[in-house]
Amino acid sequence: MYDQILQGAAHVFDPWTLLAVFGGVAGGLVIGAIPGLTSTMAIALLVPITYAMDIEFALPLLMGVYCGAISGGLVGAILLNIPGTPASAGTCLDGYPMAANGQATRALGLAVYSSMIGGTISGIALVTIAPLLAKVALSFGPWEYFSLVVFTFSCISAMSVKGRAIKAFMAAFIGVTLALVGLDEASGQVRLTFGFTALESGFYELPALIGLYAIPQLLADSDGIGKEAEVLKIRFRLVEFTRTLGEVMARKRDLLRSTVIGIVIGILPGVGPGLSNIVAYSQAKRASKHPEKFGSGELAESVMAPEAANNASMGGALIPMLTLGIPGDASTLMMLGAFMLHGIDPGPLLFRDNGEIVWVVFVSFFVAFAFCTAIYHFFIPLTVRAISVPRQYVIPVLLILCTVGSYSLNNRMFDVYCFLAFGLLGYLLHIARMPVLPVILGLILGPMAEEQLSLALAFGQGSIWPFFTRPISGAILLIAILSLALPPLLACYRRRMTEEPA
Amino acid sequence: MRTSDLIFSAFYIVALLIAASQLSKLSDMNTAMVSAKLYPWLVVGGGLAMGVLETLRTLALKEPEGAPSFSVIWHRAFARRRMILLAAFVVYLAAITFVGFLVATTIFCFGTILLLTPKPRMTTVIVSALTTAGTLGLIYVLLVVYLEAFLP
Repeated sequence: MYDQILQGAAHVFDPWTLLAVFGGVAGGLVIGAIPGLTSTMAIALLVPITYAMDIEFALPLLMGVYCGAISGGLVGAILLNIPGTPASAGTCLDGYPMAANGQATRALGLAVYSSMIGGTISGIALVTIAPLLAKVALSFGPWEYFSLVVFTFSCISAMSVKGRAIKAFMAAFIGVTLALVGLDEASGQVRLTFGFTALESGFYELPALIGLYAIPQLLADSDGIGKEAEVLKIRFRLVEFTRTLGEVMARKRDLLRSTVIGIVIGILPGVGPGLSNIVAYSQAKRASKHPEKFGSGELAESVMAPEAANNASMGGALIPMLTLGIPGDASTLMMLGAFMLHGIDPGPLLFRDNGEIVWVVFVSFFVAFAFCTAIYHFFIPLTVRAISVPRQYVIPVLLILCTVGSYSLNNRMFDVYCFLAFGLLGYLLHIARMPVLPVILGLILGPMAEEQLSLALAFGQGSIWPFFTRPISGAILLIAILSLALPPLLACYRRRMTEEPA
Repeated sequence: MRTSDLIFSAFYIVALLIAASQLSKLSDMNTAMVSAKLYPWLVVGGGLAMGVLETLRTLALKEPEGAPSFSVIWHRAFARRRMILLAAFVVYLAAITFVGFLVATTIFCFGTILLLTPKPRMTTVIVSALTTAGTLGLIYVLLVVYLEAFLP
C-alpha cells in the first residue's frame, strides 16, 4: 500500500500537476462564486477537455475544480444573498445578515475556515472508510450490486422535495429507458433506435450529462440578465479574516456535528452538499442555546454549520463513487464520467488494480483544500468581483465550451446534437419541476442494473429469492424499502399526534 | 401547476407506451437463460406504473395555495430571452456544419451577447468583441495547440 501512496503523491506533487490543481481550484472558485453556475457545471465543462490528458493529471485538476466550485458558493451566499451553488443555500440564512451588519470579513472567515476543516476531516474519512468499504465490496455479487442500484433510486426519491418522490422515480425511469437505446450485447438485438443507425451504439454518457445540466440551467440563468443583485461592499482585512480561525476552533462540537452530518449525507448515493448544508443548519439551530438568534447573523455556528457540512459531503460523496461506482452526488457523477472516459471503472477492483489512481484522488483532495484555503486568504476581492460579472457575457461562452467539449469526445457532430437533445429534455423536466439527477443516474446505472440482474438471475437459475435471502443484498433492499416507507408513515403519525393532543 | 403536471404525465405515459410498442418486437433466443425482454419490460412497466400513480395523485390533490398557475409557468418557460438564447444556439449548431466552427462561433458569441444585453451600448460591443476573441483564443490554444484535439 505504501508504494501506492508514494506513487499517488509523486503524481500529485509534480510541479505541473500542482499548477493544474491550483488552476482548477481558482477556476472552480470563480465558477462556484457566480450564482447559477454549480460545481457540476464546472466539472461537466472540464471533463471532455481532460480526454487528451493523462488520468494522473486529469484527476487532480478535476478535484481542484470540485473543491473550488463547492467552496466558491459561499461568497455569493454571504455577499449577495444568492448561493453560488445549492450547497451554500444554508449559508445565506445567517451569512448574509452577518455581512449586512458590517461583519462581512467575519462571515467569510467563519465560512472559509469551517469549510476547510470540514473538508479536511471528510478527506480523512474518505481515506479511512473507502479502502475498508472496497474490501467489503469485493465480496459483492450481482445481487448486491442490483440492490445497490435500487437503494440509490430509493434514496433520491426519499430525499426529494415533499410531494415529488414519485416524480423522482419517473425521472429515474426516463434515464433507465434512455439507457436501453442501442444494441443489446446479450441478445444482439437493437432496442428503441427507431431505425436510426447512429443510435445503435446508444447514447454516449457525457454529452447527455452536459446537456441535461448545462442547457436548462443556462436558459434559466438568462432570466437574471439586467437585474443583477447588489453586492455588499467589503473592506477585506487579512488580520480580521485570520482571527476568525480562533472563533471556529472554539466551536469544536458544532464543527464536528456538522462535519459528521455532511459525511453521512455525502455517502448516501445521489444526495450530497445540496441537502447536507440545510440539515446541518437545522441541527445546529436545534442544538443551540440561542435558537432564536438564528437568522439574525449574530452567531458564528449558524454560518459555520452549513459550510462545514457541504464541504464534508465532498469526501463522503467520493466514497461510494470510488468503492462501488455509485456517485454520491451530481458532481461525483461527472467525476465518474471522467473515470469512464479514461477507461477506468470505479469500484472495488479499482483499489486492487489501480491503487495509485485512488491515491492520486486522495492526495489531490487534500492538496486542493490547502490551495483553496490559501487562495481565499489572498484573492477574496477577486472572487467578489467574479460574482458581479454580467450573465450575458458568461452564458454564450459556456454554451460554446459545452459544444466543443461534447464534440471533442468522439469528434462527431452526432454527440453535439445529442447534447442539444438532452438539453431540451432537461429543460422540459425543468418546466415540469422534475429533478434531473435521477435521469442521469438512470442513464449511468441502467446498464449496470441490467447486467447485474441478468447475471443474478442466471446464477440463481431464474430465482429472485437470493436478492432477499443473501444477507447484504437483503439488508440493502430492506433499507431501501424503509427509506421509502418510513417518511410518509412518520408524517402520518405526527399529523395524528398534532390532531389528537394528549 | 396541476395542469402542467397532468400534461407532463400524459407525455410521459405516451412516450413509454411508444417505447413499449417498440420493445414488443424483441425476440427471445432459445438458448438464453434470461429473457431479452425481461429487463426492458421491467423498466417500461415500472415507469408506466409511476406515471399512472403520479397522474392519480395529481388528480386527487387540490391545487396548493400560492402555486403558480398554468399560464405563469408557461409564460416563464417561454420567456423571450430564454427563447432567443435557445434559438440562437440551435441556429449556431446547425451553422457549424455549413460555415465552419470559427465563423459560426464568432457570430454566435458576439451576436448572442448583444441580443441578451438589455440596452447595448458601445462598451457592450467592445466587451463582446473582446469576449469572443478571448473565447476563440482560449479554445484554440487549449484544445488545438495544447491538447491537439479537433474542433467541430
